[in-house]
Amino acid sequence: MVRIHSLGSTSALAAGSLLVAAIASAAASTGARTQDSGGSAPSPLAFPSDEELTQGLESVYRPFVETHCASCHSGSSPEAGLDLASPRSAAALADRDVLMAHAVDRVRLGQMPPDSQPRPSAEEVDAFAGYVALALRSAYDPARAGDPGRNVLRRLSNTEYANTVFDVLGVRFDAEEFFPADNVGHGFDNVADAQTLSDLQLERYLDAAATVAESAIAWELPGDPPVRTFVATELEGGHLRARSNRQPTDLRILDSNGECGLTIELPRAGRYLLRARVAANQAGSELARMELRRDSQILGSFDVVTKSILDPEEHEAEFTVPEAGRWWVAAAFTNDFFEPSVDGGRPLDRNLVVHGLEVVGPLDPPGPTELQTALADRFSAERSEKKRLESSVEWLATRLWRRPPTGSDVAKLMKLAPRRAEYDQTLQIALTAILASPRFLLRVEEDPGRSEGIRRLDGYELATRLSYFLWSSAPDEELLALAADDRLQDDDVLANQVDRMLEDPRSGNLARNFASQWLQTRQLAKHSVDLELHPDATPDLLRAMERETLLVFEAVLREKRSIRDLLDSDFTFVNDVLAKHYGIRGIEGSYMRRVPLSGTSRRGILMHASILTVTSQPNRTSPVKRGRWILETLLASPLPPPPPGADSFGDDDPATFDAKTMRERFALHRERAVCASCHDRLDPLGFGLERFDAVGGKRTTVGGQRVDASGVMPDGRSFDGEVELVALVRDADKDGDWYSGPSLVRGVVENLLVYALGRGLDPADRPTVGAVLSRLDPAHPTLDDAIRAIVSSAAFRERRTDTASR
Amino acid sequence: MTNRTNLARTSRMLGRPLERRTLLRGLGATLALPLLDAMQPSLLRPGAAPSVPSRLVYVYVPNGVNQDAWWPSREGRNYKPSRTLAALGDLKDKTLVLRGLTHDKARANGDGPGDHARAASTWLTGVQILKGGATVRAAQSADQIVAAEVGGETRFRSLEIGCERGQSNGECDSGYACAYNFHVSWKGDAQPLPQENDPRMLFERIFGDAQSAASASVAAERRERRKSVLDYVGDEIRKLRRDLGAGDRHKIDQFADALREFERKLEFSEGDALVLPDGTQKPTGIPGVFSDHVRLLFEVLALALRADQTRVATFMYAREVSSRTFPEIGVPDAHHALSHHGGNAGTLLKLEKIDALHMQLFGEFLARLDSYEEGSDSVLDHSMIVYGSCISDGDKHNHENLPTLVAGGGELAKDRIKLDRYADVGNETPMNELHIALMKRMGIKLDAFGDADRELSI
Repeated sequence: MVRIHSLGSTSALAAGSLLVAAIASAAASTGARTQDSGGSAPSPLAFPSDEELTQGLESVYRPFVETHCASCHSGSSPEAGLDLASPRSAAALADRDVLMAHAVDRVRLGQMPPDSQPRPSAEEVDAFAGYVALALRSAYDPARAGDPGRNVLRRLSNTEYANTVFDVLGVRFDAEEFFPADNVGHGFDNVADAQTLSDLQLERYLDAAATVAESAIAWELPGDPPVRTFVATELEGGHLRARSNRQPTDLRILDSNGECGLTIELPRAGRYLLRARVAANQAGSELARMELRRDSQILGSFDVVTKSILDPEEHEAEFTVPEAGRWWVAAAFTNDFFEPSVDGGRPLDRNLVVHGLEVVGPLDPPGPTELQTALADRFSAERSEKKRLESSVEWLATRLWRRPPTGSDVAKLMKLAPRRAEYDQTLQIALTAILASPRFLLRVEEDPGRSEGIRRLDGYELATRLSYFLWSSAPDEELLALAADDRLQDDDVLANQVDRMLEDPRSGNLARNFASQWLQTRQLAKHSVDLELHPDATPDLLRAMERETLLVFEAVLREKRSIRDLLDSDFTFVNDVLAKHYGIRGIEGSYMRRVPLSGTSRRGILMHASILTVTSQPNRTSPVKRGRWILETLLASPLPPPPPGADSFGDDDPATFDAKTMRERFALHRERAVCASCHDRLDPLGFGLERFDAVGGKRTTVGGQRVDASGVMPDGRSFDGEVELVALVRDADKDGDWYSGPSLVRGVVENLLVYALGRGLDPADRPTVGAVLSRLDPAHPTLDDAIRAIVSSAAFRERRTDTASR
Repeated sequence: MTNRTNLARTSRMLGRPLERRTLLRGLGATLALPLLDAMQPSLLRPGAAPSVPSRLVYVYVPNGVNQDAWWPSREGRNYKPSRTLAALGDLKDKTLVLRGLTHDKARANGDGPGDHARAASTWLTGVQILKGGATVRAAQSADQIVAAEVGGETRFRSLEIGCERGQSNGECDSGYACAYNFHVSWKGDAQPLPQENDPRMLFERIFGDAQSAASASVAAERRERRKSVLDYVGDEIRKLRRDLGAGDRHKIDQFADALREFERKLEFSEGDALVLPDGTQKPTGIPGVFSDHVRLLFEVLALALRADQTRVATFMYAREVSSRTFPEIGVPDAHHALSHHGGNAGTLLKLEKIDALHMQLFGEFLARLDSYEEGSDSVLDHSMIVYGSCISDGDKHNHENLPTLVAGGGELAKDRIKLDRYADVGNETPMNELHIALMKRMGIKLDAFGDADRELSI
């Protein structure tokens, strides 16, 4: 199962097969450097000129292919579908990067040409591999950047919807629960191609608009408070005596002390009335006594005087609730009495008999919300009520549509309310319409009247892209003011805004939304763990795991640490349950706090329980999943899909299922040649993490045997245990060649671009990737610099006009 | 009243009582009335409609099934139910087990791995889906063809229900877009339909928010408000469609379609005016235990079918490649991992337990439908319900001999399909022939569907 890679399946293939090369920092980059030696650029690896590329093609590539490959890999039906002879330019090689990288890999490992053919010399192989790497890398040359790429029309993701209504209106709305789940494309839920709009989604949008508007602007039609009546069959507690000929209604009998009631949903905070229709069997010296209760609170205590259980009386008491939600209301019987008969007659038995309950309310009109108060203050100087209303509607539309409405828009919104509507009623209806409008739900970028070509985004469009990228929420007033003055496209202004926005707490949303999807820790909320084997893996622990990784990501972002610190940071965040899980002492309380890791062997996110857990089965580890996660998620180097005939069983492969130990299964993978070409790369990486169990706990033995956490890569490099593995992974792109192999830094950049642009990356976007990478310090690449470089790229600040509408 | 349905009582009869917190008692006076004959569907619909409607429901099981336990040993009328089929309960005379149905288009056919993605999305669409990044392309599924053609007679053209909420990140199948694993219902080539997962929200969608207890004047104000907001949104969409480039139009068109559909629904009487069986309880959320979750969703679906709120539905127990565990029946392992059983006896036994649970829950659903009187027989008798998977053996990822069970009554018996037997329709018989046969019984005549050009003949 290959996660769709941001550069499309083609490049995805390439990178995987180059892992060997890069991890071993083998010939590819060295060769390239030799060829680059004339360049004077200070960037880690300079890009070749067109001339150099053409020359290399003729002097290195073509002779090698003619001599060693073309007899099989050319013509109309080349061996393995791989035609090496036809590419006539470096660009053509780069377009087929998957196959080319695969070919180079085979050659470098000595698998090609086949044994029956003469072997090329080591120098020849180096030169060939070096040239192909150079050609592939040239696709990333920032000098080729400038095209903003494909346009997409994005809809607000559920998270963005919730953040927006909270930030603008102060309303907490659980969009995640209320709307259908967002589809995910290229790993993220804000990718336009994966977002569809179904009937169900629209239905929910319309409902949500009304619900949110009612929470934001308090107004209710004056009138009698609603009354809800509940008969005995709807209540719980006591026992039900169903109606009969002698008893025309259903009754609930409390024949011992206890409650009879129900959980009721109340629409909002406020005062309510609880009314009980009750009767009693009287016995003993006291009258039957009833309390009315809301949860454990006693609202009132009453003597029930009636003598016939069919002749109920009513008692009532008021209660208040602080917020909308579900509340338990009940009538309680508190003085049960029973005496068996002494002479064979009827026993003396006092019971409470409940006919039904009623809840009336809310009794008060709702008070103004904070938003209403704020709007009233803001526009208190307006001359008339009508002007105040207009200004309020205009403000709401501007904030929610991320652009000022026209005068006629406002007039239309005001006219939606019935004639002689009250002030707040008009505002509430206008807000409902603003929230139901496609201008709120979609992030519209329009080009009417513009000429064909590439244009800069206007200030409002840029403000919107910026705020949803960094905050997952709507632009604030400062951004909108700069947009109004058309200053946001100024480089300095833009850079200052990025500073400000990253410092703002809302940028925590970037860590939460981006990192949780990129690193797949979001999966934890749904991950099943075998609680028999791992009784400590409670939802609390899983939540703490996810928080840990996001907090470390956020720290690396905010402290402008090197991206590589993600892999070997010597601090982390824990709370009591996670600390216990890690064996860190002295941590109490459920809040997450920063702790140093000195004295422990845990370092970086690869040893976070979150990642070790999501890459495991419920009841065992999965070295294959872990290896794949490292390659695909972390290093942006997905493997080629299994060849025809093989299938992506992972370590669920039936052939290996019966094998006793992981090692034995691993050996079986290698025996099957069709599997080995990938598992040679995957399995060792996963085995490096075998000292962590299926929920990331430390272990020394598995199945009674000592854990063997060593691994050997196909190129012969070996490591033992997680620490050496992490070093290998971290340093895969150490020399700054992050263009054509497994690279943590390129992986982050590509994923950030997908997230920022809301679309998968095409080959045409590689120069943009290159442009962002070229602005990073190879010795200290930071998320902060990557974000800035993305924001200043053409892909982010410009768009290709779509004028085909008329 | 013998046919009164008390969901609480029924649930207890079915085994463990439901967790209390998953049911909300007290739907308010409107719904507390005793069951009336007003439940007769014809009274709930404006205009003329057939007195007894036909219905079509598909229930999907992911990851294939344990073959040995699933298939009966002998064909014909007097077949002995297999171990898995025995869990269905006493409904043999209203079901038909089919062997031989195949989805060739779920096979690789040159597209390489990705059998799970192809399974879910080919099951009802019958086409070879596109492998390519985040882009999806399948086809309108059988249920949606019916929904589009005849669904307009009910308030909901169709309902899509599932127990597993959409994905939380991009873990998918072998280069296929993630959406494929999660959807069997496709409204169009590129429009998979999301599912309701929460029994409470499903209930409220169909039967209204019965808790609101709004007065008549409040309800009137809301209706008026909704109408003006809808008109406004319609105008906005038209304006935007005019101003947007061609590349973005299809998204606006989806918006416009959905709005029209919403307006169509408003022409029907509101769900909160329906009278539900006495004792009906509104679910309060998603239960923690899988079988409770399924039961509640099936219960709400059964009520919706009975009240003729829809005649078409799909139900997914889980997405393809689901890693659900089933600790409540002693299976703490992930379903997908188990499905690659490699012939291991212990693993196969666990799979059999999962299959039996799925079958038992399905049987409870059928029994419920069969308990609802309709005309002179039951709701089940006027339904066609297909249950199955589009992977046969999870270990082989194969798409022939798909485990398929058809339940229902009179509708099926029309023409040739006879119930109460286990029939081998012949190897490599296109599954799409079954779709053609069932669509025909819903009033849609297709000469061809996917790789089939005739209806299933058995």
